[in-house]
Amino acid sequence: METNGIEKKYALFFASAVRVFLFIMLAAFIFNLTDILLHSDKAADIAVTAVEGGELERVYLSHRIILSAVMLLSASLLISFSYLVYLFYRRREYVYSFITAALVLIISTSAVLSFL
Amino acid sequence: MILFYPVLLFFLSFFIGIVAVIGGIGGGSLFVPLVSAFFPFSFDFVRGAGLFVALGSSLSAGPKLIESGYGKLRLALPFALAGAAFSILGARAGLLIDDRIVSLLLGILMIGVSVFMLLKKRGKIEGEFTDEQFNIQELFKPGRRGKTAAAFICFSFIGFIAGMFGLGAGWAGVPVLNLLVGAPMRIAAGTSNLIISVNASSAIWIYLKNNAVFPMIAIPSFLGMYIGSRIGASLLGKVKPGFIRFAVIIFLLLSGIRLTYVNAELLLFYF
Repeated sequence: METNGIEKKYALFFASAVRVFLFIMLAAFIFNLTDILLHSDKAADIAVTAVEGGELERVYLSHRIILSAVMLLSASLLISFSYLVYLFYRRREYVYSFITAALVLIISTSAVLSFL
Repeated sequence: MILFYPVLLFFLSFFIGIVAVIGGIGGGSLFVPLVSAFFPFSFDFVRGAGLFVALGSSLSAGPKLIESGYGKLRLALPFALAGAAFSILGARAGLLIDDRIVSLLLGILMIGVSVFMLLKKRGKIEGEFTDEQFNIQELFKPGRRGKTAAAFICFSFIGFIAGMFGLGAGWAGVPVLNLLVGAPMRIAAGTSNLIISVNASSAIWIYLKNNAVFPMIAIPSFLGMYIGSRIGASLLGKVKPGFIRFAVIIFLLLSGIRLTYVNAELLLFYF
């Protein structure tokens, strides 16, 4: 069936995107843990921040890296949806293409707003 | 000492992952109330982690669900559109409102969910449609428009709750897809998972911007949940879900009562 073709293609692309970003995130977490264990004098700060909340401005470079990796993970859906817009458009399923494009727009607006 | 909470969160999430799958509720819906009720973390961090857990587990399951046919893209997309927009609003509202009020609302919601789960009909409910080629046009045929509009309103509300409390809210999405949209139970569960990934993906940016995703809380929880839910899924046919489902309801009820009690007391003191 033609429609199943889209779903199979999309699932394959989606799975690859998620796998790649999960791998990046796990690598960043291992780096983050190593960083914390090597700088145990500063570890108390993190524990307090984690327990009591508050400013995260003092976070290590590795924290920033891991947050970027988390962003990439949520971006994997954005990327795979952009591919889905193209797949639906090519199949002339314009309604779905439009809905998916609207979703891409909403998620990317949320992402852009988070940087402003 | 620095690794105490991450290790504890890993094992707790691992346990939640197993029982949540068998108990028929999303991991995030059990994670957020339990951790916020019994751990000393900032509520923002718990919600951020809950959303991240929901996002990670639904993204991991998504491709397999689409491929197997249980997750229907064409069914998920329109409802995800409504849910995504409202999940952003929910996340913004949740971070603007006082933590204690949000915790109190979460406590009340969890008591409601546990009562809903207790009263929900057992047994298999099949939806109206079994057609593999579920089409968006089906939803707008005369006679179905009222139900479809109700489903859109429900998914907007579910999105709002998901963003506000950092939950996946599969417990709400599955009955809506099954009873209002008419999808068969398995398709409703698979499609709800796809909708959760979109809702969480939209709302998590707001949490990231507000520094409410703390890796030392979010990632061990995600890893524990990921491994736990895989084991839970493999145990599905082998374990009788009755007792575990009852235990899940008790956990939800206890966390709900604790959150409501603690925050109601704080609010009374505050005013």
